[in-house]
Amino acid sequence: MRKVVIAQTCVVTPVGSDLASTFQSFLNNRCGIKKNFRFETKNYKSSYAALIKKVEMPDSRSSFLNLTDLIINQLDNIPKDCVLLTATTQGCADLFAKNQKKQCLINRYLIPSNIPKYVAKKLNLKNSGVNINSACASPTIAIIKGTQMIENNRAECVLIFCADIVSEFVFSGFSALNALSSSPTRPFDIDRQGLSLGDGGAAILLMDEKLAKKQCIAINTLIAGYGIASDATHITAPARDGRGLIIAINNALKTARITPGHIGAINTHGTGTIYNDSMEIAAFKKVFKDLKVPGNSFKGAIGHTLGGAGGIEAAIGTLMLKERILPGTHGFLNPEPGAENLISPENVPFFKRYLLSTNSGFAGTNAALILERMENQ
Amino acid sequence: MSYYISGIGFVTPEISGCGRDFKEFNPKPGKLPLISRKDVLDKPYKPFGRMDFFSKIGFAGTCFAYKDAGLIKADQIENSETCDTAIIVSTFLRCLDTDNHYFETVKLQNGKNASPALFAYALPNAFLGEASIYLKTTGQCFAINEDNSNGITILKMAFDILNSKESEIVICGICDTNVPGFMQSVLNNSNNDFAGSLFFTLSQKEQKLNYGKIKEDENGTIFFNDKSIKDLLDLAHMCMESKKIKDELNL
Repeated sequence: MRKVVIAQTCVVTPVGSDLASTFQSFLNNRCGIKKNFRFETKNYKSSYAALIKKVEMPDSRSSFLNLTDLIINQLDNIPKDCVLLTATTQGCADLFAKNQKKQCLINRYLIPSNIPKYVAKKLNLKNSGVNINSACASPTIAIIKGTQMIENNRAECVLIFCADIVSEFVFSGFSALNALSSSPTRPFDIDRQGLSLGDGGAAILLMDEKLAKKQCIAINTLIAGYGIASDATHITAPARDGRGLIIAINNALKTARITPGHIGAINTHGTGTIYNDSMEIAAFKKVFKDLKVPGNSFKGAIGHTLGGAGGIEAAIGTLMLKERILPGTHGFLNPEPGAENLISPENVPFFKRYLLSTNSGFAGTNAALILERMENQ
Repeated sequence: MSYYISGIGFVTPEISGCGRDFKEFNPKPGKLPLISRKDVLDKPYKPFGRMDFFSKIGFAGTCFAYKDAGLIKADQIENSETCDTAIIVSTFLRCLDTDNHYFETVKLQNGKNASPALFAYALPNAFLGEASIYLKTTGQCFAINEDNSNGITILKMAFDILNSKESEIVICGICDTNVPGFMQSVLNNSNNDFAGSLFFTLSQKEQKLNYGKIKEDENGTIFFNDKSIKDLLDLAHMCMESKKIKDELNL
């Protein structure tokens, strides 16, 4: 079976306009969660969000398309015949509010398939691609589907584009569900109150290893394993015992042909909600037992970027593996029981070759990805 | 590799149910019917009532396809064990009508009355979660959006899941509502003609009940019983034709 490598990455987040600056911000413990200036929040449970100023579009255009431009403008030499998979949960949902304020008419970008079409047109790609639309696990699922396409000879390279913005549509919904934290989120902290939302996205070019080598592309990360599974318990809350996440991680370990002891660090979903974080602690405990594997969450720094999260985490994961360091978790002060040996506010060095990255979302969906540092490249 | 189609389920403007309950599949354009719990399930099931319309037609199509494969009887679900079946869907419009209804509740009092119940269904994979809960499936669940949901991409993704041996059975299909009123001006020349849901139960192993074999050649063309298919509607039509022949021959 073909091996799949990460050939190119780029990100835009509230703490960095590219991959290197975002990674440096994580290492410097910077936080991008501030007072939300995008829309009135007095009737919502929180007034905080991690916003990217450059994304703002006061006119009829969706801010999501601006974020898309900021991400794909960083890409270089994308093969025109690559398959495109985008991932976004709500895409241009800010158009609902813009329409209400008479800034625009309802337009075609509310139709999700127009997002991959937009990206494809901007990059002059031959195919218009599809969008993966499965809540907060969407980007990780897109990376997994792209990997399988290359493994199964459906494509030689697949471009993953994933992003979401903080729109009033999404903000009001999480507020109504009592999922927003009234102060900046604090993943895995015993006093956590909920999540903060954030703008952000990433693009990742997946490629057949042989093709990447033939093209002399500098590569340092391999997609080693993956798994997707469902909780089958609740539509908006995770299974308390982490059953779906456990299956997803075990499937990822199985496809990577490694054991839990091979994992050097975990990039958790870590949203900062009561139930998500305790579910993850339960799942990691079940899989890793007494092994002390360090983990972190970026959501204390950039909030939950929904359809962008798994992509940002995988892109940053390539640098974590290269630099052999796990950035600390912003906002983590007093551990939730079970998190004391998992999460740290400090940066933690790690030397093993494998990094586990996980995401979970509404409808009980879970996805796990294992990245491997390629030695001697 | 070839796989088996053991069940079909659909909701269309004219007919809804399991493939084996009908003689042919030739859906006509029209307004989709309202679906009640009794149309789909024998016993009361509270979550059905709270679902949005998109989720109801998706959930119904999924359950019909599973039932058609002889894999469940509604009254056995309560006691059954979980299984690794995957449920995946392609949709063009996703749950746009629900999204719009949700935002109406946001507009009412500047967000004060935003409906958490509607927001929970403002994702196209919500019904996949509902189906996985009801059918007790822990396999992959995800939705994709395509410009023209002919279903070929989702079918190939189902093959990938079966090929990886992660699941023995995959329910895959397409699901779309009629174009919502507020989108009519944008979609007067819609790229998607099919309104309703159409799901297939695919399995690695030959089941007691099956419509025929499906496979993909090295060029990516999909064949059902050695005839190439162009989309999922075509596939459903061919499955029903195959069933007709089997019925006539008493196989």
